[in-house]
Amino acid sequence: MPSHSPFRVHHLQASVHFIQGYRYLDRCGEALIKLENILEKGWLPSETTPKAGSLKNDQLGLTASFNSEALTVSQIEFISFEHFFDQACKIFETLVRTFEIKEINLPSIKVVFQKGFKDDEVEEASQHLIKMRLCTPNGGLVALLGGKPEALEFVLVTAEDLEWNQERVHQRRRMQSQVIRQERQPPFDERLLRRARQLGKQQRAAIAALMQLRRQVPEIFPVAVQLDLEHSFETEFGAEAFDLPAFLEQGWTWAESVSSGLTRLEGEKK
Amino acid sequence: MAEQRFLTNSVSWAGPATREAEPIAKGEPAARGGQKIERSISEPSSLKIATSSVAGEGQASRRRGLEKPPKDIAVYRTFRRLCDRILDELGKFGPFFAGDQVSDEGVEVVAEIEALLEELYTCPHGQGEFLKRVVVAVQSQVNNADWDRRHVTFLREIIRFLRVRYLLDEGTVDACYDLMKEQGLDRFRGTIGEPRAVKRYRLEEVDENDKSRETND
Repeated sequence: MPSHSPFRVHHLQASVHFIQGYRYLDRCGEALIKLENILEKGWLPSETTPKAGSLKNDQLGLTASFNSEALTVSQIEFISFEHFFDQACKIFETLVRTFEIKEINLPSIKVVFQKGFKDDEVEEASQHLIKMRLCTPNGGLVALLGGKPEALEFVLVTAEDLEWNQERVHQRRRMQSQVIRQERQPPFDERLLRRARQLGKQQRAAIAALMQLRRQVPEIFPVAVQLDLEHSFETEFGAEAFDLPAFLEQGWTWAESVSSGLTRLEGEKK
Repeated sequence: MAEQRFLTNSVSWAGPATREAEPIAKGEPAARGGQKIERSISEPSSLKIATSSVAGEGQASRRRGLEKPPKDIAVYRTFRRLCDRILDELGKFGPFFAGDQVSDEGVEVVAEIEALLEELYTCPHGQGEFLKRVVVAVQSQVNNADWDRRHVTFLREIIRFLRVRYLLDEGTVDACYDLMKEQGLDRFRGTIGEPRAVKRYRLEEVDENDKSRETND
């Protein structure tokens, strides 16, 4: 595993809050059936409860969770924005129509970048983040604490009112930087243990693909410097009129430009 | 993000050694049985939906699934570009109104929009024939018509509605007819759905005696 890799997108997530999405409680099953039929192959419904319904697609690395309050679509590690965009738009529109949602708010897209380090390089990772000088601690504060900075994490939130798609919106952008340690959960799906004939045709195909995927060796950095970028609008929108495709493209382009700007900053520091 | 919580932990070099207040997910109640709970105003906007463990298997080999871009996305982008071009053209009508009618000078814009609608008709966006049905419905209102403000407003509304649709279904076609109605347009224009010539029939009671007399004559 390469040490000190460049910043790479590790995680993509989009979410939308539903206003009066209570029909989730009546129509969750219907939504799952529609989604299974509309989405790409490989989607499997996970455990669904009155609290939330969820689906996952291991081949695309996507998960979708929804309830009466919100929809969240995530993609982890191997990122294809195009697949994410395609599936997220389809899921959003299907749920809005199935739950007859009139209004939504707080659409957000989060892009998490990671720079990987080896297992025993936690200090190096922390020092790397400090040296990026995204945030500099007050010298007086450091003197009060004593010693020298060993780790520094921060959150920066910016906000502005602007016009987007001919609507006034309150845009909020957030960046969090931190050093993280990560472990992969052991993969398990109860359906792997069931006889294939007990499963539906679609589920059988997805589980067969999953069986093959399990044999592959996962690749993950045990320690990473993580930059978590989030773009959101704290505004209510008509659900049918909300331009999710444009919102996702805008958030993705913004995150990429921030990332490349940071890479330039890193270069300048050296 | 629920899965991510299981996977990653801040390495606590910058985390407190002791934790009296655990960060909570946005949307959770702010107080539980007298326990003090703090919430940062800089927390993320995205909501965490608590689900049972959705383990992410086989991440490394996802590349295989991700190699081919989804076919719908390229088509959507073409579709979106066409819709945006139609909206751009509609924006040019401003100086071409004579009262409520589009003047002769506006014919060039009309012709451009009609050509773009033709392109939209052949665009393979969405499943089935829904886009074709919508475009045919739109064309039934604007082709060979003397355009006025109703046509321009209807077109602007329907194209704005369409351009953000990633999925097209029966509801999209219905919405098109609803918008027509809102603008006072005739949804049956150019069809035989509502005939203009109406034949009227009358039921008349016939006296049986009169009938037998007529037969004898």
